[in-house]
Amino acid sequence: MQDFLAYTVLGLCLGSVYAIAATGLVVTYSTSGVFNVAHGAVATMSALFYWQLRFGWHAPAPIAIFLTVCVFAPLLGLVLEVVVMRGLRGTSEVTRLVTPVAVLLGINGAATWIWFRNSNRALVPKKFFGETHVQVLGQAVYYHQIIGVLLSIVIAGALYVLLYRTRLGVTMRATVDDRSLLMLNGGRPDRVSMASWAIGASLAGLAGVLLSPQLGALQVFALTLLVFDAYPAAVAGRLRSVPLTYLGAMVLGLSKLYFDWISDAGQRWLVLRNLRNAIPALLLFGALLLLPQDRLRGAIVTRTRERFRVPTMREAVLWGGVLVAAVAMLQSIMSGSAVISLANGVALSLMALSLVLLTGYAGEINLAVFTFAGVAVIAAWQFDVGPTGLATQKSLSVGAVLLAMCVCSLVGGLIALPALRLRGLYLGLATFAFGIIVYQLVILQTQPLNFNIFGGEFTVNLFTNGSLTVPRPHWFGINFAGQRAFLMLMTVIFAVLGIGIIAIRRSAYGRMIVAMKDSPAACATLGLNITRLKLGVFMVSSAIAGLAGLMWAAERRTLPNNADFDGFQSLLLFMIAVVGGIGYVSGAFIAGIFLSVLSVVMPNVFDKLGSDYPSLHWLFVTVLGNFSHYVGPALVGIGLGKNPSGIAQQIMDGFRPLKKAPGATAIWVIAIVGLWAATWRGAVSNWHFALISVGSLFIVPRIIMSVFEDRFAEEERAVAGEDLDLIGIGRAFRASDRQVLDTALGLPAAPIGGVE
Amino acid sequence: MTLLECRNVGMKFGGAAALTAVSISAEAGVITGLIGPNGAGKTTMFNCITGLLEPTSGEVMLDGTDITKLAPFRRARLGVARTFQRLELFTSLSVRDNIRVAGEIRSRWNKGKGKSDSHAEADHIIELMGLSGLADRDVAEIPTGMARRVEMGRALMTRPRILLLDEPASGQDEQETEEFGELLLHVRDEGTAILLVEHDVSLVMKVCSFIQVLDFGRLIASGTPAEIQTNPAVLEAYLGEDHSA
Amino acid sequence: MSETVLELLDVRAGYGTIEVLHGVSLAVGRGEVLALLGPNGGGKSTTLKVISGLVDIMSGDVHLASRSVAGVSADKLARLGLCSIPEGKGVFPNLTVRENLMMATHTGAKLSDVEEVAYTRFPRLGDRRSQLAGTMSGGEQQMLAMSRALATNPAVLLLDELSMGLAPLVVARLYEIVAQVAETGVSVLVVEQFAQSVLGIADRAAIMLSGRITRIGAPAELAEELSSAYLGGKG
Repeated sequence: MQDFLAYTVLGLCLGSVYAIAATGLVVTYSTSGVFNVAHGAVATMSALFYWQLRFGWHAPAPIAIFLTVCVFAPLLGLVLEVVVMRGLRGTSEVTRLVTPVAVLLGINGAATWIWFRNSNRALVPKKFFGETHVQVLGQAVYYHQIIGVLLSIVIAGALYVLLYRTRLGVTMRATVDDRSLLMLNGGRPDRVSMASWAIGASLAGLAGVLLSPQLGALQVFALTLLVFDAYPAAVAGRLRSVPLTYLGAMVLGLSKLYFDWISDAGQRWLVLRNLRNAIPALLLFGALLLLPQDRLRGAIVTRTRERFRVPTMREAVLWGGVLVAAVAMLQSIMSGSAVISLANGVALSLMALSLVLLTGYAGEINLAVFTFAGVAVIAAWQFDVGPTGLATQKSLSVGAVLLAMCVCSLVGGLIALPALRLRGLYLGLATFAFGIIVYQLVILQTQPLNFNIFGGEFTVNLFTNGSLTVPRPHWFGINFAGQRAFLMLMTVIFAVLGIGIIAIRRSAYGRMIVAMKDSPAACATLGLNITRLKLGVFMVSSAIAGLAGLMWAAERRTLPNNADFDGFQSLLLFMIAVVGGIGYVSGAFIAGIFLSVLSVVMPNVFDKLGSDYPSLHWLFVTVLGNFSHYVGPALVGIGLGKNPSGIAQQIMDGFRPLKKAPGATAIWVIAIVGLWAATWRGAVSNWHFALISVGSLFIVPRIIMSVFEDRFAEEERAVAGEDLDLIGIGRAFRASDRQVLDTALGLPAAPIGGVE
Repeated sequence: MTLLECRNVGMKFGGAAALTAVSISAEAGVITGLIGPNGAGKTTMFNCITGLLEPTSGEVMLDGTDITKLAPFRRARLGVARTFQRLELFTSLSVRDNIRVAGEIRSRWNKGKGKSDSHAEADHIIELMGLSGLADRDVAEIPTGMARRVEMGRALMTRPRILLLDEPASGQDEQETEEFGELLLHVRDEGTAILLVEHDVSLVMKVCSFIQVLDFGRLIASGTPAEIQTNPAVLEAYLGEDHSA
Repeated sequence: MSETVLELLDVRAGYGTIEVLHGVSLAVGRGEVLALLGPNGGGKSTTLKVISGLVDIMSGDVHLASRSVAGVSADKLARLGLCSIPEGKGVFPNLTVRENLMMATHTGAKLSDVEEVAYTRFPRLGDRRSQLAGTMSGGEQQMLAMSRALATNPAVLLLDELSMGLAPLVVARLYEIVAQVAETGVSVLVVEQFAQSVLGIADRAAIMLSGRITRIGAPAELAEELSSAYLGGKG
């Protein structure tokens, strides 16, 4: 009994800190509609800032805490609101989710760059008042924890007063109720948003400082994950209610501590060792399932800024062939290490491809693509290796691939089934929670699981030795073990899957998927069972993710059970896929290559430049190399608000002039092929080939534009000279159209107004 | 024959009652009008009939079957189709594909019956709705009046027994509305019952055989067009109390 | 007519690709009540949204006190003295009566003063000061919206379908107050689908059909035309 009470006290202490973190999230969501995934990153950055002041520069604790919580964190929040979040109005839910992800990765990248660039130094955070504590029912309760409890009570009270007693707070609530009515009343929603982001960030900062002593030494992503743990509390409050969020936070804190109590701090059941870490994710999943059924809605934003074109089947097959040919030609002149980078990129492209169908077409979100890769690898390993633990195959069998796809599809269905009634963001969170659960309970599981089924012993090997080895396939009499052969195999798989996905989009099934994304309500009234269709799409996309994941693992050969599955990698992939152009197969390809280039190739290029030109080492390595490595991916994600349709779309627009000048385009292609042949024969270095071919991609469309200026001008005129009766029908009516009409009708330029 | 019957349907949002014990019906083979001032509860009524809202009280019967608790897609499969006052088009698809996809959805649940010619049927409907010239346009860029016709064509592709039209003529000009009236009569003669919510009262008077009037979420009158035009309660609802003379 | 406070000059406006207003010109003088009438879909609400800055104009101009205010944001216009009550949702439903009134204090008025005026004008609001506005009846909500609007001492008051869904007695009371307010020099533009309720207090009335003003004049002159606009002939 005494133990129970003692653990209850400790649970409430932990819950208090979660409450601070979660209410910050609620404050920002409820006033801006953006679910701030970057909340944890703000907390991390603030905790590091605090560490720097307090332990790096030995400032007194009160000054350090004041500067962190009341100056630094709110400023960070303000900057985020003004620079990034404000641009998200009128974009789709996917974009509004991805941009904060980019911010998260950017802030964490910057934090890593600032504090952990040189070595893995240990920044050890200390509790307030060190180890000073009081004994409560036989358990040590630190002053630090008591401060946390007191602060959370003070904050709860202060938030209540703010939201219900002050004009600013009431205005914040009014913004949620009716933004345009607030404007009609002279309120300034923008300022209100700034205030709420500042408050939210300040709470994140405080939570970061309070949580950080839980880690022995500060680590950027570990601390961010610690703040993720507060999500279930915010969801329990439906992202709106502060009291419910507090309740949720307490349940969360108590759950963790009660688990410690009944499991003897994890000593009792070894198989469930990591359950404690999975508790927040399990609660998040549970809280999501308890949310009320989302009402069938129509289009919330009538016209989002994202627009995707659909290629014809002929185009799809043509470009698939071009892709395979281009990769085949390129790899023949590439060095071994470059081939590895390219193969890595194509593998990631395959993973991104599963998102084109799911997110680009159907508008659903999966934040656990890498988890499906892990599941696929376990399934395939089980099939090829069997319960004995001895390899029976030296190559990846077709059966293993099919099994892995089936298992992923089923798992995807099982996750999605209860979550499908939720709307996009919540479904995304559910998949994220699923990813964490699988990571903690399955992928980190090093115990072989022994089952006794019908009397027969049955052993499931998970990541028994901390890693699994995935052999490469030997299919159709071809051994794909070699790097180049495997690259070609993956490219062909990408092309075939890509053509298949475009075929789906162009089929009746594809039209239904897109229709469902555009207006679920209309689909339902046409007789479409939306839940079933969504489930089907989720299962197909999970199967693709499984296949892609196997290829990705086989490309790496040995798959360790850590870094890639903790959730961030899936977030990053999702973000880059959206940046590449989530509605396009080509977007998936760009995304994979981009990810590989940004994280591997660019730093290498800058390193090489730095060693070639030692005097500019600081510029290339210290500034540009680190920049592209740590914050590059985040910056492109943040830019998404400006061009939500993605890079693929931009590239297509850029190359449109080529269509008007087929002759010139043909000459250009022939020239590149000729250059390739020369490189292949050794007459030109591959470095020069890369320089010239990549350079020409940027220059040639412009040259064609200027040389054939007449042709484009003619087209412009054709647009201007359109049928007067049809003005404003085919496109938006513009003020200039009116002048055209006035001129045509011989009216005076300045209209005479007034009825009286 | 009474095809659709709503009995004492009530709908409350929080404390506010949007519908209070409304009983309306629609006969097979005719066009029934449902009119009333803004905020009278017409669209809420449509939502209750099609299942996008579940009424807090009362029943919705289709041809003698209680459909009050059925999911929207099940009602659609029983023959209830609708258009939306706030357009709900599939903005990623062309006009033609908007209408085609409805036929494709139908052939999923109506297997074996008319699957092969669903594209031909779509072309026929496009022609019927007067959309041939716009068929390959993006729906996002056609005028509202035409967009409403796309929605109606889409609803017709489900071969409904009853079609609920929510302000189909708004955004169409006088001549288009004239043609549209003919179109409604044609659809009716083909055997589809219509429940029409419309603000253009002259259109309602022209095509409807029977009209029901909602005000404040209550049914205040029902009768033939001639009766409605002289009904004091209706005049009061529309023009204010002094006009009832 | 006295000095013009609000003026629309050949305004064209709409949503996305669709032009809804095809050249609307209107002028409201100081202390004048102008009723904008006509069936639904004619562009009345759009006209109000254009004036209050929620819909951008495609061409033409809007003048407030002889200054062009086209393109000025809604919140700025509100602070310039242009106050509007939008159709059917003039209150913040999840705020209490008191908190709703608090939204009118951006002009620097004291909340206690605002409350006192409101509760004197509509005693029913005083009884419900701690109730959430969304749970009150439609009439009480309009009273609240009106109180909040008047508390800002606007120069121009825009009312959209004030009578919608309200009992005739309540409507009469609300328009009585509108008339009093106009007498203090406030210009009022009232949009109504149901003409009769407002014609009693309007100085002038305009009929709007298909995005154009078709008639403008004294209320009495327009009575005939109105019934044909609504019920297609007899009325």
